[in-house]
Amino acid sequence: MNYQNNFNKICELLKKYSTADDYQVNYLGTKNNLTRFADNMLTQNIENEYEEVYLTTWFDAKKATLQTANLSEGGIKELIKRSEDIAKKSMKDVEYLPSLKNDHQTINHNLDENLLDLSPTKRSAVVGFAINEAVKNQMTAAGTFNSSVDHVGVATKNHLQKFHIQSECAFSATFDKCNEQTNCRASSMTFTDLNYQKAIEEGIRDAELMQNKITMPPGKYDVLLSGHAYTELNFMGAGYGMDRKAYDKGYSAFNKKIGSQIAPEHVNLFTDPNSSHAACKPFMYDGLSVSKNMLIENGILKNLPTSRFWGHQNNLQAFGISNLIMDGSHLSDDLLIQKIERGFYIKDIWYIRIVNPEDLTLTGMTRNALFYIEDGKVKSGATHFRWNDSPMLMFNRIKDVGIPKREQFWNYPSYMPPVIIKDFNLTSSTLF
Amino acid sequence: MKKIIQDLLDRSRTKYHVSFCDIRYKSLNEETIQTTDNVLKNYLLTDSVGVGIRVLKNGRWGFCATDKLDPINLDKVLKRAVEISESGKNIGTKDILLTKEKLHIGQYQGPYKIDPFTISPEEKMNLLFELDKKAKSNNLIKKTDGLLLFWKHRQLLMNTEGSVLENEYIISSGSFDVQAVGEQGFQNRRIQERPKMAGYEWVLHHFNQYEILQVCDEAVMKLKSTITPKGKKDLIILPSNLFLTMHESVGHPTELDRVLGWEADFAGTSFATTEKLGKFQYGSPVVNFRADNTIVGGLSSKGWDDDGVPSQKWDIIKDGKLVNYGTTREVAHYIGKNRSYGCNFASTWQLQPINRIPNLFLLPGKEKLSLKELIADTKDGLIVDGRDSFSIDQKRYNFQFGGNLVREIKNGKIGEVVRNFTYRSLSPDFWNSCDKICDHRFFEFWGVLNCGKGQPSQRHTMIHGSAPARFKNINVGD
Repeated sequence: MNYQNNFNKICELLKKYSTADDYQVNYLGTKNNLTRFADNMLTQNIENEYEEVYLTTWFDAKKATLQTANLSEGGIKELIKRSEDIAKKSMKDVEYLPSLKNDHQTINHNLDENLLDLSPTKRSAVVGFAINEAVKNQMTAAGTFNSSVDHVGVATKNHLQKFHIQSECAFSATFDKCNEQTNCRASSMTFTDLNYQKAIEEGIRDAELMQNKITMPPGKYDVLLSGHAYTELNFMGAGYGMDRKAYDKGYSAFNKKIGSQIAPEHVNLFTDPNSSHAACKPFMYDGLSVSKNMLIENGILKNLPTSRFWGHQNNLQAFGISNLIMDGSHLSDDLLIQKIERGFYIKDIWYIRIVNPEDLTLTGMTRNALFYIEDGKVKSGATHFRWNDSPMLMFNRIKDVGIPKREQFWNYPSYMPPVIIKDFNLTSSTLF
Repeated sequence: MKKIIQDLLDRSRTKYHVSFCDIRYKSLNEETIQTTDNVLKNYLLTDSVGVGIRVLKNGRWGFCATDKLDPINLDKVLKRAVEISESGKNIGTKDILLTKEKLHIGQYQGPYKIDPFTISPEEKMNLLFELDKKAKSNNLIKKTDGLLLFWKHRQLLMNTEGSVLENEYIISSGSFDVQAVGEQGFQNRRIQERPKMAGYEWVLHHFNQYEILQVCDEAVMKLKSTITPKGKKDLIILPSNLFLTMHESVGHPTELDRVLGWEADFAGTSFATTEKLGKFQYGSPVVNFRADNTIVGGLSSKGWDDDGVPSQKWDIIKDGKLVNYGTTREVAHYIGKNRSYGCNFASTWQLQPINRIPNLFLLPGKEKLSLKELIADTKDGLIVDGRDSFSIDQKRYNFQFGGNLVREIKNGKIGEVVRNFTYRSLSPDFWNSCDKICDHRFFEFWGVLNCGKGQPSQRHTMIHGSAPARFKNINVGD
């Protein structure tokens, strides 16, 4: 299927038939494969492919967005008509700004063509390898191997037209030995770079290490958060707390902190879709170009994501988060562990939710491999904890960072290092 | 469409020799109206139609889905589903086995009075803008968020066993949040979403249950409160909060696929393992949980599940003991059942169905007991209304929940509003601490619209109901 041609045709139909004051059209053409396994058996094996179009129409700033999967000329004409009929009867969008104009952005695709048609046999082979390794080590394995190619387009009445292709493949497995579970994962934009074998090796090794386990009392401990755990924490924190309008209106946890030192000087946190480590679509849903934007620079809070309307009204640059990247170091996990006298290595966290938006306190559990550290060495596995802590307040408690690794968090790639956090608040234990 | 699907099913047997095939045609319309303050953030109307074909051959699933519904493409999709299934041959150590199910032919129509898709968008938007206007008359209310959701589902499921099952239903939901902002920080209060299989009339009815100015006053009370309770307290939990605790600490742990480790890589497993069946004291003797996918208006009452199994009613916890699970045809045989309870659902045509929580209810207390009497009987406690933060470990033991409006109870009387409240327990400890449940007069249900599970993540809907219940010595404010 030629997705770009399909998108171009839709744009032409819009130009021909739309009578709206303004419009924005968003296109998605996607192909997804997913092989799922559990209890050392295949449980699901899926392929799907579809296209859809979202059309936002404005008449006198009244707006409506309609979606269709019928991309024939008749289908698009019907979409335009219905969208315009509803927009006319809609309410004024008091934050309406004219749709964006062509900004001549150069867009590079992130595509591995091998992923356009990854055969079911190849997918099954990856999963078969994981199951065989589990069986060999008297374990059970559950997980997924999935690949996707997303074709995303946006166009406006004001002659903006952008198209981007992104491929992604990801492997995840949870190994269980005697009720101790560990997880491993790998993700990449290309199949050849997906080192699932190394991930499996790590997952199996961690499951063996977890067989010797102790229960420690809850409390405040120095912890090493894996790059994966720290990625999850920061995306959830960003989702709940990072918004310039909320900041200016007084209901953001970051209140009065822009321009202040909120982290040690070595901490730089930013979004950059063109970074080779976490490349992604370089424009937002409305077509706004995204480039590198610093959130924290040399430990100082520089900026928070800003909508077009809020930027326009307050003379601020509008930008959004397309990925999250934090500068790391060359310190291996082993060297980081050596810096902890008594604490934990948390490889995974789970079920993260906001508890107090006023200071961005989140709660969640440790999950999968959790190791107790004493005198700079991993001593044993540990019974899991609930934690309550704020990623915002935690920035100031970053003691050290390690080697960053690419992660995929929902649709957002990241490149985050493992970090040592001082006094991480582990509030209660669970029973495993 | 029936003829095209029947031809495909016939070919799946005669040409591809599958042991089972089902074909699901699904159409889903969604209308979303989202406001922030007096701003229309989003008006979205979607229309998704497609077909998912699931085949079982040599004990391996193959599933392929498409939105191109011409017979030639559908034939290719069937062939691809078979190829996917065959690619799994010799992978893994076990086969997928399905429990038997009779042939069923029928239609299910969910109840509604007013089709929300016939009401003008303007009228629906005004509902939220009027609430915003009223809320802003309180000068400490600095932000409001409104949300209306309407879904219309139509599905045709046919399989090689001869079943032909059609269902159609509408789900309606509305919510409205207000945020009080002051020198003390910021606190919210909400008209909580209460989705139901019903029409537009349900949202109007639901909003009419609240006085928006009182909702705003309650947000301000939270803002001005300096009480943040800590330690062990007796909690009276209202159904508006308890439904979510039931969902997370009983609903999910008793999904049999989780128990068997099928969700180990993402959604998690369960402490309620099969050797505990019939023996494990999950809760105190007053605790009885019943699943019921036959109840009219229930969000999981769809006539049949996506395995073609009719909706049923069964006990999960009886007199405090774990007695059963929610099952699908793939997993029922693991606990010796020769029939599934019909809990297999896919959220869209693009995805393969998975084991979901049914409508699940904590049965009311058998003894006559009003909420007033329960409060009067409580010396040092808190009464919890509305949902807030929620989190639970991957085996469903350790949980922590918040509450949207929480007040102290001192010597049998309701006292001050508190802020930043959380309660934390281990699921079996919590349910075993339940000493009293109000009677059937105080029973009410709440709905879950976005129960997330699976890889890729799928959503499912269900309702949970209870009467107010009391839990003794629960940790609050960790």
